[in-house]
Amino acid sequence: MDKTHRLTGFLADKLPKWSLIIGIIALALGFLLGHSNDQSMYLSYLTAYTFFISIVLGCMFLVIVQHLARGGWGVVVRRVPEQMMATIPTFALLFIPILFGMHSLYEWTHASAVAHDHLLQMKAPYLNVPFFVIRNIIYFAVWIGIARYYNRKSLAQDYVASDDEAEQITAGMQKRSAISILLYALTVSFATFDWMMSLKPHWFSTVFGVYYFAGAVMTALCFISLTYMILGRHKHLDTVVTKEHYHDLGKLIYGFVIFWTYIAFSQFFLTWYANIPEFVQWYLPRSVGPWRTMASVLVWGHFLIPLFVFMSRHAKRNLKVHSGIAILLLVMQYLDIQFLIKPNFFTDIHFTLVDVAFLIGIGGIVLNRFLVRLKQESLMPVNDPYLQESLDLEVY
Amino acid sequence: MSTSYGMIAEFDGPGSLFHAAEKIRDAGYVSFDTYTPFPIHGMDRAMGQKASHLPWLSLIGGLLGFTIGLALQTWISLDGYALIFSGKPLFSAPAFVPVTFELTILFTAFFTVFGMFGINKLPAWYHSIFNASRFGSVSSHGFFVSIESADAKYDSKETRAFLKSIGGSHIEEVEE
Amino acid sequence: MNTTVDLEVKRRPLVTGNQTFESISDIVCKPVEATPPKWWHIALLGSITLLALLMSMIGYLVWEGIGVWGLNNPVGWGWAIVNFVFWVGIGHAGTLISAILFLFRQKWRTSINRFAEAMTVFAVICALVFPGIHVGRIWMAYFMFPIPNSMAMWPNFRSALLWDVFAVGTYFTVSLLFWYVGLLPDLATLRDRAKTKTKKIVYGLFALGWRGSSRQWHHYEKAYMILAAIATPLVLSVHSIVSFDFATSQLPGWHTTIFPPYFVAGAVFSGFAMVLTLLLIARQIFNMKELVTMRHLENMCKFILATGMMVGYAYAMEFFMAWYSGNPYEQFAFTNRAFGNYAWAYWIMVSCNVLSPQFFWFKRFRNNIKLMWVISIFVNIGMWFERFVITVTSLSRDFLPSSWGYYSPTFVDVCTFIGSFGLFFTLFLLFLKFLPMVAISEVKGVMPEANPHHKEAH
Repeated sequence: MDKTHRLTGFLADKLPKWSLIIGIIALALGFLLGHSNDQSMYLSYLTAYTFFISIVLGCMFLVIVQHLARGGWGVVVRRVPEQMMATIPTFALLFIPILFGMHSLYEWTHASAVAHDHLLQMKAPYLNVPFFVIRNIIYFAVWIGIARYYNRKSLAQDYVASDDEAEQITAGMQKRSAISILLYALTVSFATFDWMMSLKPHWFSTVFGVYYFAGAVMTALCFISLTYMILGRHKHLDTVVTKEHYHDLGKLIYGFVIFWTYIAFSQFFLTWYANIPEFVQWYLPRSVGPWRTMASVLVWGHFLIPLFVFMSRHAKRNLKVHSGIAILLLVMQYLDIQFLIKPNFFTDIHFTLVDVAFLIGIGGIVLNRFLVRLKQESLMPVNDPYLQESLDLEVY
Repeated sequence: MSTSYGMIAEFDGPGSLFHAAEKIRDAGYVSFDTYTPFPIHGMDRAMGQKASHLPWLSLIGGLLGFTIGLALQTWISLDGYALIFSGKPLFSAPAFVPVTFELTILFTAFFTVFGMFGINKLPAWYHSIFNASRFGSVSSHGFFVSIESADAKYDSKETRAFLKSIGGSHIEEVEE
Repeated sequence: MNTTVDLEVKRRPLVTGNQTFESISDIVCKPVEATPPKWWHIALLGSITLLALLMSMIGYLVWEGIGVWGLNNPVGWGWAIVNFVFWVGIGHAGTLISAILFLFRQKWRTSINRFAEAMTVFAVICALVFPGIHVGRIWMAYFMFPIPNSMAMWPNFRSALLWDVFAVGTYFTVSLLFWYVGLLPDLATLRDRAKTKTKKIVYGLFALGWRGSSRQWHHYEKAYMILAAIATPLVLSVHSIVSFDFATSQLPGWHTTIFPPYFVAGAVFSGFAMVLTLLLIARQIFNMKELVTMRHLENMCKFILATGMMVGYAYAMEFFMAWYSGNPYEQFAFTNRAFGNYAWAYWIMVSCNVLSPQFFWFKRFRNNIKLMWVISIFVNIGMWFERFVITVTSLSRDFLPSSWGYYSPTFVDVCTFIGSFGLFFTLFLLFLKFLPMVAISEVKGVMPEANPHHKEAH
């Protein structure tokens, strides 16, 4: 039986083409519109960039962890994250503007600032330009390595002739999952420190990496759910990816919403309680004026609404409600990234045309890379040893 | 003179019991039950049982716990014993989160467990079904079906014949 | 089939040795129904002796006052708090296995969950002893609860220590309920199998007249599901709140934002180790190798490795952040941990918690029962030292060198701790004798024969 499903029609032909064209134009427009104020422009770029890469990194985690746990239920919904995480080389290229913008973004790159700041001098062995560049090269090398390995093996599995070979490949992927997750944890944590925490170099929080990770996985799950719903509307896999799978994805989204809240609350709470100046400095600008409003928006949209709506089994299985929550959470993740980055520099909400341009720009380019990959191969890992388990899934 | 509780029949495994339940349901019986050593997946549908209302009870418990937790702390901190501790405002929402959360969980758990007992009418230290001679194996490896005499369709002879026709063995009328 | 590579891709059976539903009941009920062996009596005697030691130490403490402990200024928190966190931590594996693995549909949990839940309940009892007695005047312990009293005094809800009362209290109650709900069908099994009248009455009383009705199972399963769903955030919250005892303070080495998830990971780590320690012995003695298979043990090893790595991650992050902070107090706190007055404790902790589980990367070691047992013991030791390092090292070297000090336990500290194992093992041995140590109905439920569509064409 040939279970191979290929992407065809609008999603395979027109959408990738147009998304690339619009993406490039938007990106160019963003740089054009923004270049009068470098700092503001690069912050907008960093915001959009860290938003999209969180989806990719979340997908990577989900793929690895499925092999680590030897999970069976998710096989039919694994190809989308596999292809999405494989867009990571594009992100390595898209990182170049940040390197150009370092001087505008990071206070610690200013020799004059460092000269007058004892703390920055102490941190100089870590926070300096060459080491920052080297670290980011390492992060991307690790991520590209992991993404390529899992992507290629899984695609190769589609073409094997015998069950034995398929099992060999799965065994290999399972075997490498532990070390992959270890490397992943370290690189993602430090990348978060470098990209976002060092925007305010005097501040530090040990849990910051976990915070970004929690949001990333949640966002990736929402992305996966939405993508399969869109594919389903275009009659791809609509009989294969059933309510049972959405139910499970919904449970995971729910779990990660709570996990994110747990981490976010812990970080805020300990800071608030101990009230030590060097820690509080990060929350102070976020607890006044419009950023305070933003914080309540996050409490409601990133926690309370999903908490109550997704509590019900029926909500997770109702595609309209499910997609509504997924879209809400994608927006919330973007607002959360705004909340992490922008208050370090602006006392007011700072959402400009440049932000929109970069969102569309990076988003369009990534969408193109994702769809081009997706249409080249089957939409489902057809030879995975656990495929039947996943097809038979019934959630109770 | 003892009255009859109903008719009990034994089946040899989860599969045959499952199909028997479907047949009893389709034959129009309402007051019947199956007895198994472990829950059988899908049996609720095979027996035509509606979804459990227990989650609503749990939700009520949770909301109650949340309200009580928050109210208790608010009253004590603002009125009952209003003192400034460690420079925190009298009403410190973040500091009230842990206890509110714990009480929410505690009440949810109480409502869930005791709600389940209530719905299942437990404890029920006496139940007529235990009068059946072979029923002792239900908690180990026995699979039983009972059709209660309270059912409108119940008829001692017909029900016995029906249970036999769907594969039941050791059919026995149980005393009240 | 290629046999050169040992493929693990295929799902291995959860129960081996051609078991039937009846034989599972037989295996699990056997230790409960048989006359307990000699070693059980000896072990119980030993445990009760230790329990008596605990009681006498508590009596001595109450009579003489807290001065009999090694506490001093600046180290106002010593073994009592270390033991408390140690026991609460151990008490995390049970609910984790019951709840989180249940939600993730990890069916292998059924062979070990009862065992782990029992352990949880007993460990939390041990944990509750310590905050109870370390208040000093234990007849005032009711101050911890919001009870109306003639002095019109109420607890301080902005104190981390009070949150603990609620967190651990709730955790104990919910764990107990969860355990009992799981036990219900198995108590019915024991009731139905009971040979003597007393047993029939006692087990019958606790089985509440459970009759295995499918209409009841339906609500029962829903209740179990909801309990699992609420116990999961509860597990996370309890050790997070325990970590707040430290992390809400301003002491370097205590105030760090990773403490809540780090404590939770550590708790799961230590809990799994304790489960493994006891399970390896029990499965040997009670001949349960067909229910608790190598697959179960391997999974446990993997969990220990994973949580051990998380703990290692937290150690590393703390160190990095201490350096990165540029704060001399933070930096000192951590250098002092590794190279200061309590460096020995720190290195015991690191080698036990981070280094020893590394063996579990290799399948060969995950299948070596003796090594597994030794490592599980190491982890238990390491996790006790972790709490010791956090508590004592940080306190003994705070901001002012003039108030530095060194803490050593007295014999009362040591004997109280040893005695708490007596409490734990007394309860545990009684559990092994009187209750089924494997969840009978749940194990039956994951056997292939339990599926009503088993053997039917797909």
